[in-house]
Amino acid sequence: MNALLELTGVTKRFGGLTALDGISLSVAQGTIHAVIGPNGSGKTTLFNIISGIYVPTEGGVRFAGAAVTSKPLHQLAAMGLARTFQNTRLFASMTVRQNVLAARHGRSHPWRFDQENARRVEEIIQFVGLADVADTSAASLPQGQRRLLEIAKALALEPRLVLLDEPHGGLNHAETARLIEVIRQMHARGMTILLIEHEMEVVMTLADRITVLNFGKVLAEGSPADIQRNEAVIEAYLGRADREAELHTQVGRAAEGTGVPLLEVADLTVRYGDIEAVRKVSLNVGTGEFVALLGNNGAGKSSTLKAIARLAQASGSVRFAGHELTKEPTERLVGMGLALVPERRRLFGGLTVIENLKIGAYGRPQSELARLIEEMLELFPNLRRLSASLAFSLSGGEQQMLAIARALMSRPRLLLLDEPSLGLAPLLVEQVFSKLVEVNRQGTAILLVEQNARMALSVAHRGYVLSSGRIVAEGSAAEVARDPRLMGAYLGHGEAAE
Amino acid sequence: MAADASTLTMRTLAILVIATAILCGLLLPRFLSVYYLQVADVTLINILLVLGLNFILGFGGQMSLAQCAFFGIGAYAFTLLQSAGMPVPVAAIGAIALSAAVGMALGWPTLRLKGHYLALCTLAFALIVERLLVNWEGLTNGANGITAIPGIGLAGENDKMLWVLLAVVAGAYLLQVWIANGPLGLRIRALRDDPLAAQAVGVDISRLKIMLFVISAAYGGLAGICYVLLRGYISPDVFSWQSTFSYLAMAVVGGLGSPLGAVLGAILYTFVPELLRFMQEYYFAVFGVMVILVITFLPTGLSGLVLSAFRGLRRREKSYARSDVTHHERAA
Amino acid sequence: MLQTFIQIVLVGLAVGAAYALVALGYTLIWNAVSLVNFAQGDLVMLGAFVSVGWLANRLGMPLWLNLVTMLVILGLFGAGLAWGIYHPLRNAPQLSAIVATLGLSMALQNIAVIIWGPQPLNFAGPLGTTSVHLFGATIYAQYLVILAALAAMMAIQHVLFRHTALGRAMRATAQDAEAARLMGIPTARIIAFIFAYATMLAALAGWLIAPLSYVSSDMGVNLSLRAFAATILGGFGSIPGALIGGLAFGVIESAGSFYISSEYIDVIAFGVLIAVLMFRPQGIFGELELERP
Repeated sequence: MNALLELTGVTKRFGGLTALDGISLSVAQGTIHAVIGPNGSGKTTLFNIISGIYVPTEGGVRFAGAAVTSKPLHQLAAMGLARTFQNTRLFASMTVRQNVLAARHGRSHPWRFDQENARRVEEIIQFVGLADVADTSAASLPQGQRRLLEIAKALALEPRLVLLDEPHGGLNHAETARLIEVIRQMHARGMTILLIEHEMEVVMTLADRITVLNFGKVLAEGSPADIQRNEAVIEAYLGRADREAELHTQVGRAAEGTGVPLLEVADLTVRYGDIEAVRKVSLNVGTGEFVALLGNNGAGKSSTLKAIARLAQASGSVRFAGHELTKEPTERLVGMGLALVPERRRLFGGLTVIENLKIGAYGRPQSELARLIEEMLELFPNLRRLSASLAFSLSGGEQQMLAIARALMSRPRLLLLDEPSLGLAPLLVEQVFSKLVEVNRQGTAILLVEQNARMALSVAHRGYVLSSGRIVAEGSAAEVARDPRLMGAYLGHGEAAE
Repeated sequence: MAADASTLTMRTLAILVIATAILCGLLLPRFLSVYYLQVADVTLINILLVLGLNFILGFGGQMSLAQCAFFGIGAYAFTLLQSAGMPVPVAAIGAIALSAAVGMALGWPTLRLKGHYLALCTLAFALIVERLLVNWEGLTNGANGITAIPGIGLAGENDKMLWVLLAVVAGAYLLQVWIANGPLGLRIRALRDDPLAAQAVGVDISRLKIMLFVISAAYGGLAGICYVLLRGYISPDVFSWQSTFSYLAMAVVGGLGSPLGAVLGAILYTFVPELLRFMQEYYFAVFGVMVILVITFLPTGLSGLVLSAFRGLRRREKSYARSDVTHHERAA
Repeated sequence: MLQTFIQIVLVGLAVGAAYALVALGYTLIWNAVSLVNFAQGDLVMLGAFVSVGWLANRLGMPLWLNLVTMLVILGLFGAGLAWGIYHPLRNAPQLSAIVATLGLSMALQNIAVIIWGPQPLNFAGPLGTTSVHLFGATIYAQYLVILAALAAMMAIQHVLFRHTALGRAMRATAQDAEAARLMGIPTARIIAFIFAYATMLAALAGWLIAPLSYVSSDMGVNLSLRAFAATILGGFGSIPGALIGGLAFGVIESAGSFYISSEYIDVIAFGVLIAVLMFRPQGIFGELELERP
């Protein structure tokens, strides 16, 4: 079994951030190899290095026996390495046929259109199943067909290796099945496939071999069955069981609130263009309650929060303290008592810590500012010595604390958090969670979106589990932690997510 | 199958364009005074310039503001090569070659520049060329310009030059359509639609961008030659750096990337205001507003409007790269 | 010798101050909404015309009232630009926004001719051609006024940005508009204010340089180009960069024109600019765009 693609010791740094650390990976000819890993583990960076968009800081890449480490994307394409993109990159001004034809340019006559080439284009279009819409403009295709066209463009290169970057994003069941079939057919014709995917069902069905990344390193490698049983992998996705117990002992469980509903979400649906990210989700948070919203990447957790915070268009109903939110602009929410700590914090990097805090209290009277700031510095003591530092210079953990403090400056009744543990070492995650419990005990309701399910469930009062945009499990935190559907939502066994 | 449809349409278009040119050549001298004939001649030269701009700006999506510089380089090179004793055809080829070479020299290092950086770089270049034309008196005779350039002996004969210009412009127009409808045209549109995706299918976008720059420069140089043939004298003020914005405005209002748009835009900017001299400032103020409105709401420009009116008349869509369809609003 | 040098530097600084005011406008709008306003110089022209053509010549307003009124008018116009130019194009590709502002430039120049006629206006201002002796050099008093105005403006801006809630909101909006909205900041209004403020800076420059030479409809385009070059020199997106780039460009032009060649100064200055774009596009204070992970 010879390796078609080989990575040796690949490291990639962006300034101070190490996205990939010493990755060695071997993709055997004629296999379907999947790369999975939690959010932020470096999968996309890996693909970008293999396909020549980034140059690795250290290490090398070999393709079909040749060293290709700094070769640009278009040269790799000519060598038979094709890739698709997570956000389909089609040629919007052209029809389906023209898209494939454009992709064939390396294999066709430079000045004329020849018959042989035209025939091949037809074959490819037939193969992916787009023959009916061959003359339709690419811009008007629904998501399922966009993904197929994206693959057709890759096939036009007559590739030996195809990199598929989350080809199943936003597809429904039927479309997913069709795509799996196409990928299988490609495999049958001798193509080697390297796949990044979140949809665990798809990965487990298709892959011959899986590599799991975490924090930029290879965590595990093996067959699908091996990976599903691998403790380290389960831990990477769901969190460590023993630490969860520790946290629970230290911090205790959060408050259960007064029982009076504060946030009521009913039949929330969020669409990005053609993709349904959130499908008729209903959940609620009581006054003073701590609720966790869990699920894998792409499950729709962030989108749900964004819809509640009115940063994304949605249909359905979102009521906050009895008031319907879906018609309000985002900037009104803080005044109503709803604050969001966004994914990746989104601090104002060029402003100091104190200035960030002041912004958090934008709508509040100037006279209150000093007192509020003092309260926050008491709650988050390690921010005190950083008061005059610019926000971008803070460490990850400090930034997360600042982001929460900033949101609290507006004295919200409900605090929304989008993956606060992202990019933080486990010890820091525990610190953040302890703080959140403390805040909750002082009376603030919390809706926490987390990938790190175990940690979240060890302190939350109740939980919901999302998979492919739908709620698949809910109940008290203890119930959800035991529910096999939780594991299924992350690692694809247990009951199917439908 | 599809290839045949393309050639068929191409042939029809060629006949249409040549017929229109012949018609103009026959009718315009009948109905236009000497003055307006000259305006028509200048309009044709402007069409040529905007056709050139189409390649780099409309097709390639790169903001080049250097078109007036290539206009000037072509004109002066043609003139100086003639005064060095070369026969007209050789001087013409030399002038175009020089423009193309300068285009490559400018295009190559600016590959990395995007958006406003490229705009400023090309504008700075245009300014430098103009200043050199004005101040390098030993070479260009400075602000006084150069007179009595022999050319093909038709200087000032607006009706005969009309035929020459119509032939040149018809040829340049058809060349652009031919390129745009061929495989090269698909690569160009791929570059325009999504450079990263284009690279992913193997398009060397650096080489493509330079090629577009060179073709644009060549068209600009050719326009310079035509200007010399028409006038018989040149001076730097014709090639002022500010004039580059006019060509941009013509291209936008006509429809970026559309050969028909180049024609419409040039006519609207050059010929029509001459008919409305009494309200010229109002006209150009409106034109400026049109630029804003077109780029915001109707990126395919006036040619887009015209063509969609005709679309209903066509039996079947042209299957291949129609360069006059550009899409500015794209999903993220 | 020294006197000449000082004179050249002072003149360069004064011209550079005008560039700096325009450059600041570019930078603020760029930071806020990633738009390069190619019509910024024409806003200078508009300010000069409003001040001279309407308020001084037609209405005979006294100096300070003239300034304040003109700033208010232009400020409102700037806010209008946020609504009419920026807002419809906020999701369009960069090329479209550049083209739109170029269209705006064309429209403004012709509108100026329509309103105030084709003849350039001559305006002596209260100081006329009064000269001042400073460090042994002789310069127009107006130059000192320009420099003083720039200094005052920078002080006011510093207080605004660093010590007021509005200033904080502006900086937050510029860094991350969506996050700013989450804080309750009405970003649409703040952006309109940023446009208004940038326009007022340009208009102020117009008011300051009007007495130095003719006020004509095409004076803006030239300024746009030079201020743009200055912005890139200083580093696009950096406020100190805009300030220093503007002043430096003015001095380079002034010194280069005298000591090297007044005919070829543009070739030199813009040749340097092209070199900067090739080798150090981030200018003096700007930041290189890193690959995004």
